[in-house]
Amino acid sequence: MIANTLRSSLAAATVALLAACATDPNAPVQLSAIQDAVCMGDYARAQSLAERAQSEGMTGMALHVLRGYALEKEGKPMAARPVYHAVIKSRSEDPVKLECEELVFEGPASQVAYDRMRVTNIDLAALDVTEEQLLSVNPLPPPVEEPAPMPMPTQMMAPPHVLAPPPAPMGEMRQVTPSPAGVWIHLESYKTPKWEESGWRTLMKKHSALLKGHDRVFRKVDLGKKGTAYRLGAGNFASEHEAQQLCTKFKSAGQYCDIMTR
Amino acid sequence: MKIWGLAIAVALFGLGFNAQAEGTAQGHGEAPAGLGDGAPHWSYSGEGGPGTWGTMSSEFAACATGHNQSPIDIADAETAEMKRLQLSYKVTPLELLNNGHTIQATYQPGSTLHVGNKAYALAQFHFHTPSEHLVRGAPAAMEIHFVHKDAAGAIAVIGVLVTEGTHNMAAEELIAQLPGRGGETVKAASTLINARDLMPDGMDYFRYMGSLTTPPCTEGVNWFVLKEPISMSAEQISRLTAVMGQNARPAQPRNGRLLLDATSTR
Repeated sequence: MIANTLRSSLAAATVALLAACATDPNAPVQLSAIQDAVCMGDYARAQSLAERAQSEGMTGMALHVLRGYALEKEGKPMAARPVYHAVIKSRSEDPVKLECEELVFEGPASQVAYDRMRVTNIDLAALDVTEEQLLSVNPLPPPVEEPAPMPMPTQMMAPPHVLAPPPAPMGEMRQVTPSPAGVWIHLESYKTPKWEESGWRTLMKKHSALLKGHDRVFRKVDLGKKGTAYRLGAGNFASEHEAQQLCTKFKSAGQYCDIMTR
Repeated sequence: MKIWGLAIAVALFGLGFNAQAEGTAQGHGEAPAGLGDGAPHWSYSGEGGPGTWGTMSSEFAACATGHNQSPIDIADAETAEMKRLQLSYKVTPLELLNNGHTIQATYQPGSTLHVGNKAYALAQFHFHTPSEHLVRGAPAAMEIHFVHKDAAGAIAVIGVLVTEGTHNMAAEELIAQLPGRGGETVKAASTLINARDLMPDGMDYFRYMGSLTTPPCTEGVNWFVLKEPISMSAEQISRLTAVMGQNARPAQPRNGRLLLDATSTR
């Protein structure tokens, strides 16, 4: 009898809680709802919510990055690319983060869009899409970041890093010995040193297994008329061959990677 | 014994292990004794049907657990400008194997498919009735798979849909000499065939990454399904079906895979 009463009370409380938690279909769409839909793999709903949010006046490039990602994951990279392109072109530094069971991406919107665009380039090139087609969606304005040599044709077509945040006080540059062989791998580039920490954190979250046992390398590079760039990467390789092997793994994971010897 | 050997032979043909298939092709010989000892027997219906392939053997696990399986329903493809399929096929003496699941024409080395800077050698082609790939939910009467392999072992398959229509002269050369019994091979050195004759003029295609459509359902297969079908007469399709039976694996989930529609090629 008591057990039955208790069970009924619990059921009633659960129903009340569920009702309270139920979302109001007329309430404005929140970014978190789009993120949840993406994390649940309901990409069509994520796109629909993103479109609704935009019509409701939601601003900020995070919305567009999430919409592009939903399109991409639904198997529509060709549709995602113009969305990413617009975000890259905006040079937005709106913070974007998507964390489902693990971190999917985190960083300034234009940087994340650039990374995703690069992944679509790799995927589409693997499916024999022509270089002309990949070049047809290319961010403007032209590169403001260092023209890093990119070994894969598709990466050559990828948009450059477009981060141009306000200058930040530059801390003392870490002088880490790249490796006994003088070799390190270049993974990211920035216009300012302020992205070193967050950039490394993001890399560690995305590629912790690959970076295990390797030191962070952060280098200032004089690009002449194009200014200064800051390269982030990893060192501590016994040989160039070892660095090459790790670079191949990074590329397979959709990460830009190049071998540096100085 | 014989049926196990046939099962393994079919699994191997899909992988492009043509040396194995050729090993069975001694006149009208059977599959080598012992080749398939202990191998599970799969089929297209009943107890060994497609729904059970993945649990028959650990080697077939991908049939059930894979997320990039073939065939698929071709719908909602994104258009893209794609690299052209360049065929350099030579004629080859007719060699048909009835491996118990399909009719397979073994191709001699020297015929190549180029896609951009990738080169794949044509190894064999075989038939499925009805078609395995669907186009917007609808099957064609038949599908021919032209199986290629590159130097590193990557597989590329061109799928050609066959609709019921006019009599196909090129197909008749094969159909007239079909090996009727499982394990039987027909060789006719004087009959030269060219796989290109069983393809349409238009080479625009749908492109995606999938798998072998038979156990072990290995993934990583480059699929090019041609948009333009060829035709065969109802009687020709009926004769092939009479020998092979219905041998189409059902469409598999797309799982968010990229599916591209090559509207124009370079």
